[in-house]
Amino acid sequence: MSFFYRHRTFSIIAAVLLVLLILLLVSSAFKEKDNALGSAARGYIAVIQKPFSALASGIGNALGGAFSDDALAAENKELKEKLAQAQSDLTVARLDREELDQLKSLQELFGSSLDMTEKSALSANVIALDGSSIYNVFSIDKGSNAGIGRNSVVISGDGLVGRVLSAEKNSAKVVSILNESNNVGIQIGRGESYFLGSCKGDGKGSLVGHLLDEDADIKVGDTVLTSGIGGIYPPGIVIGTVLVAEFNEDSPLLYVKIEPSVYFKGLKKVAVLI
Amino acid sequence: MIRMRYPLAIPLFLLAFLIQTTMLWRIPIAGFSPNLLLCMVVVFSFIYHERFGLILGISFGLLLDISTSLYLGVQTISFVVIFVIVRVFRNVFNHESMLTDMLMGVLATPINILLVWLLNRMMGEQISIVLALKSILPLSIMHFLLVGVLHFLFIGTVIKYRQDMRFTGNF
Repeated sequence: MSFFYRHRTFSIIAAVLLVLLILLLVSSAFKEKDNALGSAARGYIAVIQKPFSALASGIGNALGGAFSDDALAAENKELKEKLAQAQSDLTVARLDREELDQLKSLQELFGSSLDMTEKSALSANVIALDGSSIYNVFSIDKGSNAGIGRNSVVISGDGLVGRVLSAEKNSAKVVSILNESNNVGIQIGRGESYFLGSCKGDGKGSLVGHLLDEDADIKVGDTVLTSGIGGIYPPGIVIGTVLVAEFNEDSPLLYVKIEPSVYFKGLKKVAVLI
Repeated sequence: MIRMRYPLAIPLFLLAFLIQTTMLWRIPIAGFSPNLLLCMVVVFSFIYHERFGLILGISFGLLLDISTSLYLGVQTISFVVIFVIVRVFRNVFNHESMLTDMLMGVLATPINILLVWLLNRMMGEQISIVLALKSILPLSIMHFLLVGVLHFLFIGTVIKYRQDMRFTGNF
């Protein structure tokens, strides 16, 4: 005991580190579960972050407008929105009734019970993100009051962003697919055929995975969509494009490397499917 | 002269936290934006005798983890370790020296990045260390400059007459 008294500073710091390590382990255990204390803290933090985020967004828009032609900027924005809508419509059109039935039968085969009802998209702003971190976890300004819950899918105009990790009343914490601990079911279309597989983050900013069909005729540049298998991400959302498609010695399945279509560090506006 | 006390330090750290999480990420440089809280911890640990860096580093490190991290305690542990290291150097070097403080910022950057990576890796996150190492250089440069600015802003609350060689700072 006299040792700790003689070395008070060291003892205090050691005790603090021990408590923090325990906190880390507990938060890891409760990562996928709702935590009332954490949710309350996030809720209060979001209340003070929102006005700062709105101020920053306003300053950014004002500065950007001062150095660009307003009319061209407005037209550009309108065209981008139309393009995003057209891409979304094209994706839906690809999945015609006959292919949906085929996917449904595959889902039954895998024991998945995906809800195929129509989902609406709720627009949300990114209010907090740590730009110094290599992990893509951020907060948005909508929460359970708007109908958002854990595992709600988050998308942007470019494609799939991730899912909601936890939702408070007026904010939610989102984890990107690059840091997703669950596999994401994918499908890659080639002509009339669709090839299914799964992928997850490779820790270097891309996604890697395998296709179930070893004879899949996949080429670099093919668009990768969600397949709906797995229960979290609905089908037809753009994930990215194929960077690499090859066999390797470790697996009999076709290995694919995917470049995400979303630039995660530049997200400002997202949509949540509810 | 304004002396630094907790009623003044807490709002400063809160402002730094809000700027970092809501504003700085909108202007990335080389894909990254500086860790303002880390710079504040370094500066406050180096120039002040009091334990501002430790207490406020723990408090706002927890807020940062709650807001933008997968696990609670990751950044906080990093801030505590950096506080200890900076304090050791404070006992050796002149705590009025801006250059030394800026070099502390450069030293703290890889420690923070690698410690955060290691703790996340222990919890099962599969982020490659190459990605972590790539972020060290741009962040070190940003933190070197930022710590210099913060040192310049806050050194006046430590020593009033810095040009007077006989003034020890003890009131």
